[in-house]
Amino acid sequence: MELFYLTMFSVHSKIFCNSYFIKYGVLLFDMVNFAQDERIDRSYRKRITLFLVCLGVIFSIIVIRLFYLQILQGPYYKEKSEKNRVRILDISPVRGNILDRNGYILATNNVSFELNIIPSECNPIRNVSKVLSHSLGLDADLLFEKINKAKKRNPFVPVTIKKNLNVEEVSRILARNTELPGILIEEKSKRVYPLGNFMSHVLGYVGEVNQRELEKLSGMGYRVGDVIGRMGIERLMEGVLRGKRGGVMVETDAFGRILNVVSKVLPTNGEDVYLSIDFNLQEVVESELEGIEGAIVCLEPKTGKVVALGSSPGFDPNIFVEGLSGKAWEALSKDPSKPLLNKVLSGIYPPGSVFKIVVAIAALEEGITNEKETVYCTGGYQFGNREFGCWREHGHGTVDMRRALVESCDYYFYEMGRRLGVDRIAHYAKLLGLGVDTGSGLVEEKLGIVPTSEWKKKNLKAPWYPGETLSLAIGQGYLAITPIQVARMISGVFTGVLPKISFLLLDSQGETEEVLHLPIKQKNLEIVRNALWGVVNELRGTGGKARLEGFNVCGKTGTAQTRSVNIVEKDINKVPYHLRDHAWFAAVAPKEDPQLAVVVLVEHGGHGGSAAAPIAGRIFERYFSKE
Amino acid sequence: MTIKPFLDRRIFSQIDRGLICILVLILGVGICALYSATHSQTNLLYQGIFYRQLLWLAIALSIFFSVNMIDYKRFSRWAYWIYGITIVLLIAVMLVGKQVQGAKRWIDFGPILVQPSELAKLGVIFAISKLTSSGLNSKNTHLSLSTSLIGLGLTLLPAILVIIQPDLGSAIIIVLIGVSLLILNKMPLKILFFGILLVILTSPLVYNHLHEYQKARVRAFLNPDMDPTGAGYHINQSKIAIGSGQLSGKGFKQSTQTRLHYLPEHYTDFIFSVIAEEWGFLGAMVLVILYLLLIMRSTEIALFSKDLFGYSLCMGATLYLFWHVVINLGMVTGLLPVVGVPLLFVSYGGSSLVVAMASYGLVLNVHMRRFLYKGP
Repeated sequence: MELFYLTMFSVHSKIFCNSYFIKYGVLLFDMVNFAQDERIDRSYRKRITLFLVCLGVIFSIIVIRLFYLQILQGPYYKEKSEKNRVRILDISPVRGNILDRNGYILATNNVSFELNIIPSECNPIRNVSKVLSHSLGLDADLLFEKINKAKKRNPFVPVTIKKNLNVEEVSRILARNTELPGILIEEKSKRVYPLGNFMSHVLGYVGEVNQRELEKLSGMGYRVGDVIGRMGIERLMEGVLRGKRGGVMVETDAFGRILNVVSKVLPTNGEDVYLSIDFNLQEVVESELEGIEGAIVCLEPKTGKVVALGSSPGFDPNIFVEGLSGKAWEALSKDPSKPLLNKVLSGIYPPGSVFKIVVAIAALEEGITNEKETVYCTGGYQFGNREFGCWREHGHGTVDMRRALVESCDYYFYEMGRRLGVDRIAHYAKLLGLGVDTGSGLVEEKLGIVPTSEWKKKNLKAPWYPGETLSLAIGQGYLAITPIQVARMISGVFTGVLPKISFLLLDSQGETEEVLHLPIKQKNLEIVRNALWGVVNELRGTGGKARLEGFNVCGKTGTAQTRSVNIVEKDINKVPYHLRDHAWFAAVAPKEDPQLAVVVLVEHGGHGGSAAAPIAGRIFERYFSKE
Repeated sequence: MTIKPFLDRRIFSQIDRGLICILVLILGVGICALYSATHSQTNLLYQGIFYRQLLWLAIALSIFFSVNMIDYKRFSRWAYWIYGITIVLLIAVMLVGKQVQGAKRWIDFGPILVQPSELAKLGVIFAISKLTSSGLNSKNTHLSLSTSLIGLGLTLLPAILVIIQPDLGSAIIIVLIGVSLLILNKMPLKILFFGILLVILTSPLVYNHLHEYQKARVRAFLNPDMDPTGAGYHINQSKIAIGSGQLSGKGFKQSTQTRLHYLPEHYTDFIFSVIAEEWGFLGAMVLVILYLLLIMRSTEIALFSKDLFGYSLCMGATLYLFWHVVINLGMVTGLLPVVGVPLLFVSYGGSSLVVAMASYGLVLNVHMRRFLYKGP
């Protein structure tokens, strides 16, 4: 009971009535006596006394307990609290490699070293920073400040001093290990693209996740400092390549030294991804693209698998791994030649005469003509009060469908276009995969535009003029599509099936996906196929330069105007570069059993027959000579 | 009875500055501790907590003072209504409550979450005060058996509703407040002993109906070293935090237990561990003594109140604080099992702070208006 009295603070009832805290705290009074005031009902007095006794006893127990824990057992718990430091160290998974179909490595990882320091162990900081500055060439004062600051924040958490140390620097530091308490050298894996610019558009690139991505992908386990695929396969296959983080739970002492490992979960490394790309053919494509701006894509027509893809100019994905400065990024993204753009998937262009394949099929299917009907090309198609010129000023004379395709007669297709009308042409264009998603799965893929009268009304708030149909019939006007769509179309024409585009050797998902049989009569397809054979292999065929003896190459040239008014200028070198025509060539070989489809687009290259067809020819040659 | 003006300036000259001083000191300790417990946490979860509590504090203070505007005798008329509303809220929480970790304890009122079990504690105090002050309660006689049983019933109804949520800690607090308040209102002790006997006999049955995590906590209390990373974790870590504070503590914001995330719930139920770790035995003693002073102060106010309702209300508030402090301190120092009871005025949490401030506002109210009649 003594303790109880000691803890009782109170004042006399009189003072209590107008008390202040000061008086209250200073004067000690026996509360139990106070409760005995005879003015208060005796039975209440008893109960209050009982309560006060309980209060005193219980608070005494608490005080004794605190005394026991903090004073008597204090040193024991102090020691325990110092040992009581469990930390979780992450183990990052290694990102999966990207390989070509034969196992040639296109993207892999390098080991890089990172120098960390635990501030609490780093004593004295002045000396350590001096030694480090000497061996790494860093500023000693800045280093001192950095470590000091980190020490104030949290002395046990390592701070990064320098990233990407080379082996020489590491050995220099390790040599003076004894003078550098608290340093940690960590191995980090870093993405590398050993071939640099080589097919950078397919591979894409990785970078550190930014705040926006972290928010968007919350719940996916991304953390600051993780890398994420930003484009191409790196982005498409992020989930497979990334792997799963592991970790070690370690017990550390007050100084962060690891005492023992409590548990360990190994990371699951990312899986390797095999592409359908053939390194050898890709090499050919890359060398063909050297010095020109444009795009080349090679497909297996039956499966839709991309064997080679080139877009020029390219970029070096390695520069993104370290993080790009704002200036460098701006320079890259504002470059008029668009190095970051995968022109095969995201570049949209008017297809020019390549589009005549679509118009021919539409005309045959709709029965507005047959293969025997002839049209007389005068070189200028009169429509209303306007004359639409054929590319051959003096005209082609009498042409049927086959000749019109072989010689790429504009006059013939103006006539067919007039008969078909815009919406029927657009219907067949979409049927053949133009302006439609190819199924590649890459987010950067663009759809382009296949105009219809409704589209114009909605987007340009103007009616469709019949003259515009004539432009559309030769692949000009509002029409804008991507090279991959052209490649898919021409594959479809020769196989009768529109393939789903894929960059992966093995399609993990969607193997049972239904094939898209073209709802087009075999007979009509055959007419067009024969004509396209003629383009390459017949006299006066525009694609003669792609001819390859023994392999029936079939194709179609295209010369797409980049301007609305035709400049009559024979010498291409006299036309300003940015106004020159885009040269197209879309081809498949061999005719009977299509093995490879090639689409070549040379930006501002001039005539398809002279600028694009020879490239396709050389690609076919290399492809078939290998086999 | 003379009719007094609604608000009389003379009443406010009687405001108890001593009580307010102690309260402000405790609240100050609480805010400092909360700041220390949540500062510079890398975890985003903690960042708003300190400022949210400041907001709650502002609300609580305004309630504390506005409660004094109304003569507490008016509450006597409203007592059963207040009790009824809290019961309705407890039923509502079962229907529309927000589920957090398997327990439905909160009602979502748009910007704020309200915990009806806190309000129920106040409801029980009101109901019992009304019951014991209005009945025939002449000098030197005990509370009649029927009144006692009604009082126990009024206590058990919300307690059962709370235990369903399930919130064992609040249910225990409600029973303790109700029963002890009845005893201080001269309930025969025979009934208490009989009740205790009943509880002891039925406790194995209750234990079997507890949630698995609650069973684990009871077992962990009985043998804390059995599984240091499991259920005994809270108790062990809390003891390490308190013990390592030693005599003078590690200093403000220097608590390693909380900074390195060893101590869970360190800003709610285990805030005392942070205080004891940072300010040591001396700091912990200051807080304990402040609580003791506050309890004694409100007991004195109860004794000198002008009527039985005022006495009972003050004792209710006193017991409300008393049991929270006792159970919380017992829990964090490893004397009692972990049941999840906040340390009033200090722990993070809006509902408990507001209700605690409101109940002490009532104590102040009773003190200011104590002169008309003599109390018990």
